[in-house]
Amino acid sequence: MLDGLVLLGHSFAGFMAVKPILYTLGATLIGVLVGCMPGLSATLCIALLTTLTIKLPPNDAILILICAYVGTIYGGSRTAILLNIPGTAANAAACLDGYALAQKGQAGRAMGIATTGSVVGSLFGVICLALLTPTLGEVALSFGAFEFFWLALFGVLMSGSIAGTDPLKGWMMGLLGLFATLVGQDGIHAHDRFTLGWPELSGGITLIPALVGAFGFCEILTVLSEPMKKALVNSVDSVLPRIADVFKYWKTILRSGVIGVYVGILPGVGEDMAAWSSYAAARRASKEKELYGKGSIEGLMAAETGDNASIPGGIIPALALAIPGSAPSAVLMAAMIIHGVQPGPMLMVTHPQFVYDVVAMTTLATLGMLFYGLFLVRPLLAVIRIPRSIIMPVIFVLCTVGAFAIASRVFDIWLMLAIGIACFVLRKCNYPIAPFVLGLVLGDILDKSLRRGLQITNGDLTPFFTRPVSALLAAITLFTLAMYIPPVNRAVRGVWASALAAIRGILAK
Amino acid sequence: MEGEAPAEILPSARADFIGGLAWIAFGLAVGIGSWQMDRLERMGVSFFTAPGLVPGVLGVLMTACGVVLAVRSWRRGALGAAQLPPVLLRPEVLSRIGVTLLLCLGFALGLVGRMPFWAAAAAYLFLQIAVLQYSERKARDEVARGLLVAAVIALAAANAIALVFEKIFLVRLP
Repeated sequence: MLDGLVLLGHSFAGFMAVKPILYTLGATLIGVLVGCMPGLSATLCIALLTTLTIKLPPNDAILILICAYVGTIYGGSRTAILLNIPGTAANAAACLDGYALAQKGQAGRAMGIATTGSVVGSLFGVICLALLTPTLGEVALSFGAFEFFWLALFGVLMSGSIAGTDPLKGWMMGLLGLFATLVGQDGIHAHDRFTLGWPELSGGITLIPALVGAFGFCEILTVLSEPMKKALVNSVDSVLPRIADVFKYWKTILRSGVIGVYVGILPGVGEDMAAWSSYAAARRASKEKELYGKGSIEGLMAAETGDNASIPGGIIPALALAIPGSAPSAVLMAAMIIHGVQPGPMLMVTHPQFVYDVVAMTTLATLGMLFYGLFLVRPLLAVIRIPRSIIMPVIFVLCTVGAFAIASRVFDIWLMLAIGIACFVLRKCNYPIAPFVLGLVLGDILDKSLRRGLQITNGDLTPFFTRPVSALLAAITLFTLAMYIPPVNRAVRGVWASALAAIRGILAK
Repeated sequence: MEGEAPAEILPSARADFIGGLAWIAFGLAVGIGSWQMDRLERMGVSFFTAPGLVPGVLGVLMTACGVVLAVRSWRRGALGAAQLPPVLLRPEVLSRIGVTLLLCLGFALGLVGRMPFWAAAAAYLFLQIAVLQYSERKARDEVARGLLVAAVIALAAANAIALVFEKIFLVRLP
């Protein structure tokens, strides 16, 4: 514990210099601006900034990426409140009450609430990040190939189940992502798989160009395939948060923070689910349920606290297990690997300082977010008024540079274009993109873990189901999957209802 | 992680049925490719670590999901008479996407690498912005002004991107 505090102190001291503070302010600003532009996601922002910061020292680059991540999720609440369009998917829940408040002439108050919720949620998440990452890393040291196989499978399954409206299509996209990552030389024998004779594919489908295609070019095509609309922005009153609101809803804030971190830690479940879960829980427990959806301060606070708490929550498994909690944290993890830091159970052994550096970086990002939330609201709103017909072409040029810059290969631009077009067509057919990304990130772990596990046991599958942690993960994964089979679902619900009725009967006696 | 698609833009049962068949074909291709992949037995590699094992399993799973999707959409009337055309095949969407794709691919595959990056980016940005704003500018009878604005924005943005990446962050441009 004391060692941890010393390392944390070192980390904070290391960032107390002019350059990191400038990076913090600059990157958070970029994040807020990107978040303000509907359609541009945190995943795309981090992927593009990864290429921009490729030549910077690792700590500077990761600081910039984390600040942009936090800034983007926060910035998305602006358009949710002012336009009823979530800037990022994570802010969809904020639309319900944020926009209703704006229509009542309280847009500034709503933004103040969003700022408060975001800052408090993020700080709560940071505390959990500092406390849970070393613990989880220590536990994960005992994990073997069997456990990592189930973790990777669970991540893809959860992402497929939750993203979009059709779990079947989500799982199919997860499978496609897992397959895509297997293209190229395999990680054990360096044997070419599905390269179709193209030497460029031997190195595999590079993550950053794939992500830029899936989240950048795909989004550009989606936006430009729809008629251009002009943004009508509501007027803004005072944006200063009211401390009374914080004290009044402290229970909601705490509950939403816990839910946000918990959902963030779950592999493959993103910030948007954290926001919706926090919102639903707050509504269930609220004394003013009738206000929800009509401009509830509590509802907006819950949604924004939940999504921002899930950011550090999503970083926890990325650092400790190399299993990211969400699509943006998957890109963040990839950026760490590019910069020579290998996340996973060994991170606390090889780079213990880095974990605390990430804690300090996330804290700085939160302070940057608070700064822009308090002082630069009106100038930042100008970005919402920039027409999409200008923003989207510029983003495409950045996507082209972003795809090329990681390895200086023109082939990566082709890859970005191909994946972007494929994802656009799939998206139009209601296939969610996030599970594809999780599949891309987790495919290598799943492939190696399954084959290593089978090699250790000489083909015996038993340890995958009998080792304690493995058995638990297998049970959760298979139960989650089984619940999507209607007869199984009906049977489980029936048994559950009978059990509850029996318990009530016993208690009544 | 993504919002729900509005009901009116959800694909029809027939589109899902065709999609299901495509997944079956793709899954089978992956499965067959994995089965035929070298198992490296001459190098003493165990069957359980053969390179084709995991892709093979994925191929089987994709085929199975494709079958479920096809059967589900068939039950929902995929083979019935009246079906809405897929969103992508509506003429107005096709024309917008066609022009955007033409310009994007023209830039990324045709211009990039054949001229200085700033010039390629400026040419693309000018054309794309001018095309996207054309109808709006024409309605307001300010096409010439629109072209001038597009040119200024294109030159400024292209040079700013080149400067930031190449000079400030030392990243190589295509």
